[in-house]
Amino acid sequence: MALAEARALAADLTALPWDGEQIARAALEVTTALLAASPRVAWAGGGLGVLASGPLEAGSGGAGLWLVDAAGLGSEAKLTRRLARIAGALGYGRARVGVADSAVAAYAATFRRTAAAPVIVPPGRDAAFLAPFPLALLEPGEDLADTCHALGLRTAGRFAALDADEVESRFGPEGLALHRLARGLDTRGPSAPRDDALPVVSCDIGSPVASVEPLLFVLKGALASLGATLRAKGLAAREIALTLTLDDGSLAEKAVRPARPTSHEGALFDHCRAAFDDWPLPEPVTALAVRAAVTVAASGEQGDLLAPRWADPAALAAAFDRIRGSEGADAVATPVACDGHLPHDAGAWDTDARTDAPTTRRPGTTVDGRKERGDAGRRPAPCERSEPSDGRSQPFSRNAAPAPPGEGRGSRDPALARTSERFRSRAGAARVLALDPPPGPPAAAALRLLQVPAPVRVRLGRAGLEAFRHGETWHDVTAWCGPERLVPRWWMAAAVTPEGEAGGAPGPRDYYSARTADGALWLLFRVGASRQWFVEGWWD
Amino acid sequence: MTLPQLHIVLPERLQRLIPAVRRGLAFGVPALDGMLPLGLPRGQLTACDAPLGGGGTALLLALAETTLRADEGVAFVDAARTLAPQAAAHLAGLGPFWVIRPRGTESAWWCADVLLRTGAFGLVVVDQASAPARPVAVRLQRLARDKDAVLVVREAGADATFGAALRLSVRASASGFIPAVPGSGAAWPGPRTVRVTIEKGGAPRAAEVSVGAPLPHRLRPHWAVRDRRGEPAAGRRSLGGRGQRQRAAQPDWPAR
Repeated sequence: MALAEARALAADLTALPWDGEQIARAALEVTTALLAASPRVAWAGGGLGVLASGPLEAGSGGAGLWLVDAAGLGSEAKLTRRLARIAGALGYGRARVGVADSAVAAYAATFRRTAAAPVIVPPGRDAAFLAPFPLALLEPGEDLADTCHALGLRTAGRFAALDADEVESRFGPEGLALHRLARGLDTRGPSAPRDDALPVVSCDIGSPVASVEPLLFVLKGALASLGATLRAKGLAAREIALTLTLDDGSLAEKAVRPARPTSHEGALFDHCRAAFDDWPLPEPVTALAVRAAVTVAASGEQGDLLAPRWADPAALAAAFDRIRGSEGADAVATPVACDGHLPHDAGAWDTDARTDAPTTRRPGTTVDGRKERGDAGRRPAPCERSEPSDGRSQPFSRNAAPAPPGEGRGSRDPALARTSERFRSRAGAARVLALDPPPGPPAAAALRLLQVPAPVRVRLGRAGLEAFRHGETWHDVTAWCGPERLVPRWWMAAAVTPEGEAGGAPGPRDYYSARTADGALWLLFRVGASRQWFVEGWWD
Repeated sequence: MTLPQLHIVLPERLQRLIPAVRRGLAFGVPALDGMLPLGLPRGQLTACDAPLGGGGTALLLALAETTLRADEGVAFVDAARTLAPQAAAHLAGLGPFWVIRPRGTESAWWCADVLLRTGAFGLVVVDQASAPARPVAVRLQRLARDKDAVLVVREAGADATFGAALRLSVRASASGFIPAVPGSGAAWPGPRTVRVTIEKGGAPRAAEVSVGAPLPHRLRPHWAVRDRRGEPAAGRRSLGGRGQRQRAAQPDWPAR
């Protein structure tokens, strides 16, 4: 119908230009929604407004056409109702559904839809079903259509009755293809090969997609369908294979392994989305398939009835995967104490801990008991907890006094003990201070460390450290303690040490603790060579 | 477990599952638990106004430790990513203790949302995040109520614009250093007192808590001992000389 003719029928008609991108987006939405009904869906092109489906393939009217694999999905009547319901939920209430062995017969069946139910062509009856339909339904070329019309071949049945060799000799390959369609032989459908042994979800996107966002949109629906299939079979995916069919016909595949076997679509989606981050698309994508490459039996772990709180480890792992996918791989961690000699070496974050790990484990070991290892100097090697360097505060005991060097808990050297005795005698009893601890066990002050030590300006007076400037604020120092000289990793090149990478200067550091007027206790250090001061953190 | 053992254990364990009987979370610090006899309320949002260095982290970790000992999981959202792992390493062996370190302070609330939805945590702490918008706070409070969890938001001096059922103020005192050298600023870090006040959600009471002194160094320094590590060996003199003793008597505080 021409626009002028339409305006004559409806005066308030609003004419919109054809928007191919919007059509493609809407088609993707329909494709994704249909994946909830069948794991194999293909958009065969066209616009929107009419939907059709078939058991092996499906067809539609002049606007949109989706081919849905219905094999092995149970009742075809139920499937047609579900497809119509999905289309109706998306606003396509007049969608038509047909079921047949071949796509062309299902497409024809959509035009025979009765008021009661969609038409379902019995198996093996496609050719007979197609016979009364006009040949134009098979969409022959213009020349071929004119020739057939001149020869009186008006229906598909008349054309199918011709001998195939004669059709080929007279009409060529085009005629032979039309002849096959007329006989109900149609190879159209979801392009990905079927593998009934493993759950697989595939969909043909139709128009090539060059960006990741539309793929992720379809992927979400595909993984939801895959997860439902896995759960129905009592399986969980240990590895997911993502297969992209590129515009040039080649395939690109990538394996995705979640942290633990799962059928949770959210966790699978986060992993797959992370896989796309470092997977540039060489060509536009025309089809996508998601296959559970490795599956294991889903764990049927039952919670403790009497436990005050129990959560499914898979759900917890899925939540952590969501956080890792959004905030980075190191966003979820458990703390581990180390035996580093620098404040930022005395602990590390274990990002590989499992959600179902036993909770009682020694610090510095992984959940399976093996020793942890640092990674190339960036992360210090966790080890057994070292009492004096674990960053926790040690409450002063009654009658405690500042101990001379070598008298710490870790001291085992008799020579150091003798030295401490000598210092004790020199210092005299006047240096021994008695403290009355406050009632109740004190809470432990926790160390907070800046990710990169920040350079600060200091003001020094006759009594030593008087103030320092961190940010825009001058902090008046009321008391300070130090120095403690520590040399960061003198055995490594400065450029490869964490402090070197972080911008901190190599060389000896003199560490000071400074209490400011507001009660905060800060950790500062001065680099020996440059005399530059840094603030590394504070106790909170 | 035998039947007689079950008879002994079951009533006690079942009591903990009855909501009316379940107490809130305790700090494990007698002074604070005396101030809050019912503990931090479950299913509610608790705000903890603690400036940096005020002892807020110490109290939150004490709360986490008590919660872990009660067989409940703890999630600590460290929005500023400044928590030193060694400060909380002792909690990892007590139970499910997870530290979430988001990229930005804005996403801390989303992380708390995800964590609360799992229902695996009895305590979720959001530390040093920007103040949540009112709808976010309402959503998190509802999640905490649905999951019977305690959500603690530690803020540094921000206005309490979100609807916290309980609001605590934590302030540290400036005292607690022990002079090491008379007449100088050098001192030993000693225990300090932290004052915790109920600002909202209960009778206006206050309690003072002692926070232990940190030992930042492997060796306790002594004012009379010069630290020679890192100095070239050629520059050292032999022990016992007069000049050596004179220098050793000088405290090694930072020079101008």
